[in-house]
Amino acid sequence: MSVNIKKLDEGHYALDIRGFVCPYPQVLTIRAIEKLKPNEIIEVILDNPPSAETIPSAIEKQGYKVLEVSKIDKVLWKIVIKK
Amino acid sequence: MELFLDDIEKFRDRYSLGRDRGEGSTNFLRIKVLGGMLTPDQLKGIARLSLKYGRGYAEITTRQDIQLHWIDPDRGVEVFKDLEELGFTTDKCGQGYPGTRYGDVRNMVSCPVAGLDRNELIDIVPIVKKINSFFLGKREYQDLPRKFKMSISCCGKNCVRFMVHDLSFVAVKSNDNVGFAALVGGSLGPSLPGPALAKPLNVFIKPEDVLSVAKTMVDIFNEHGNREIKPKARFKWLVDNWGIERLRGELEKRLGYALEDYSFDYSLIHYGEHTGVQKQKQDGYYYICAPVIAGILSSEKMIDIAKIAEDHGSGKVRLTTSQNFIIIDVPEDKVNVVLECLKNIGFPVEGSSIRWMTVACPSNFCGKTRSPNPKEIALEIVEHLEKNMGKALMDLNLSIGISGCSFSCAEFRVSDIGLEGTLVGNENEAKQCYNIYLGGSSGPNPSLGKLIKRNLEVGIVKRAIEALLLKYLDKRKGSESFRDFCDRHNLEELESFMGLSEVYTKDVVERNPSGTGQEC
Repeated sequence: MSVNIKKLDEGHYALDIRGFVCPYPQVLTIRAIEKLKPNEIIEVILDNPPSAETIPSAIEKQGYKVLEVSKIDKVLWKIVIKK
Repeated sequence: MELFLDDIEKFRDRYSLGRDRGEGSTNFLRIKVLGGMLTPDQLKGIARLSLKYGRGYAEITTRQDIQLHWIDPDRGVEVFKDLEELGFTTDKCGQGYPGTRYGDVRNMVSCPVAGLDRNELIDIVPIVKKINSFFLGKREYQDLPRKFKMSISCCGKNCVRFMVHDLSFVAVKSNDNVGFAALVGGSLGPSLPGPALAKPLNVFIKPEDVLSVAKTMVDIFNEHGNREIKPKARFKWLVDNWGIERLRGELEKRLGYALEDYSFDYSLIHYGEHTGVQKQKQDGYYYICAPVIAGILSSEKMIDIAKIAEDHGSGKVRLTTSQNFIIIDVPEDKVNVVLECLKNIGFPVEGSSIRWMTVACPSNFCGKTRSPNPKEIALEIVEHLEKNMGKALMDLNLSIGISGCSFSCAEFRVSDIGLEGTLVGNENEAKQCYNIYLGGSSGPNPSLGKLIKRNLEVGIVKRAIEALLLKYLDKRKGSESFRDFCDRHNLEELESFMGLSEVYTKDVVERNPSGTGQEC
């Protein structure tokens, strides 16, 4: 089983991990970032409330940059990260 | 690009971490312990997990689980691998969904001395295993409107508090046949229609049909439970809206047969739990229940407990819904040795009933309280009462439930003395206080406790409880229970007994009513 890291543009990707509960969104986000080249960007779409809270600080602790955290629906978030 | 999920996919329907918001912890791990039953290797394994991932701390919960905190989500998969090797899974608590999604079936609580108790009507362990195994890892049962909680009991005592679950099975006899009465719609939290005690379904269920009834009831909840808004999404809302007759009709329609009528007799249930030293039905063997105030353990203590169990019993340990543990299969000539060993590691099997029956929730971890939190004051209250009341306390048989908020995770609404946490004052300087409830009971005379006074500081609470208990001992009629004593007196009288008539309470801090309850 796999999840597709979709290419939106050159150096710009999207990862849709709706349906995963904590801690999987965080684990998957970090794994996805590890596949990117430096300065590439990934948008992560998730619907797990605790992960939406904890992922930004976890990402920054790893040395990556969180460009945006936005709630795009009642239980849906987008986190934009730059490696 | 692909992210391969093989290692995650095998865990995702059986393991998760819950969200913490206090004590510097971001995530907790709730280890589902089937029937509260542990082998010594499992208990030692949990001790190692606690040390490796959770700062050596652990809690026994009211659903016979063990909870660890301070779990780093980056190490989640590693934690789950270790847990899998021990034979455990988790539930999906603590995801904090604001809507009516992703509810799951929680650990089924059961009599902690099933298979051992001299008074049990039937050994329920095989049934508990079947039900747990059926729901485990099934994705179709992980998107219920809300969580679904079940219990099963067999011993004639109120050890699983069967009145507070969505669905409870209580072993009974009908025409000399042993089977189960079912009760539905219990839940003590503020979800609509408010705190509710389970109602009898008026049916008799054969042991071999318990699984199909449980499955069908969860299916009914899944399909007909309210999915409009979260406050209406617990099973009790459906029970209240449909009524017992309609629910029974739907159950029988789906089962394909009519269930035998059965009128549940509450007088069959006796107050109390399995405490202290008791003979097992296996001749020459005893089980020993040690009180663990607020259910707090450490990795070292768990290792010690496992060793005592291995050296002097069969090695097996059980967990209770009042946050205690039981060492089972102790030969008669080893009982005193076990008692001595337990005393040496800090778990003396002695004292008043409140040592066994004081339950407190971990609201310090879910962030709903400030100090003193329920687990802190549980010990404080027990020690205060024991010091000030001495031998008089030994005459009492009562329960104390301490919850950090109205979610009633420590079941304060069905405790003889219930404390509900409130924050008093303005947001920046809020003080932790407690509301006092009296006379709750989850059987044999089920009732929700009466609110007596709000917003009391812990110092006042301790003295008020002491005053009340002394008055009860002085004024009770014969062997009148504490609950009946509270029932016999009105609010003003009870307030007066507690010395609270002249105590004035302050404003509370407005708090966000949303969020999830927790086991404690």
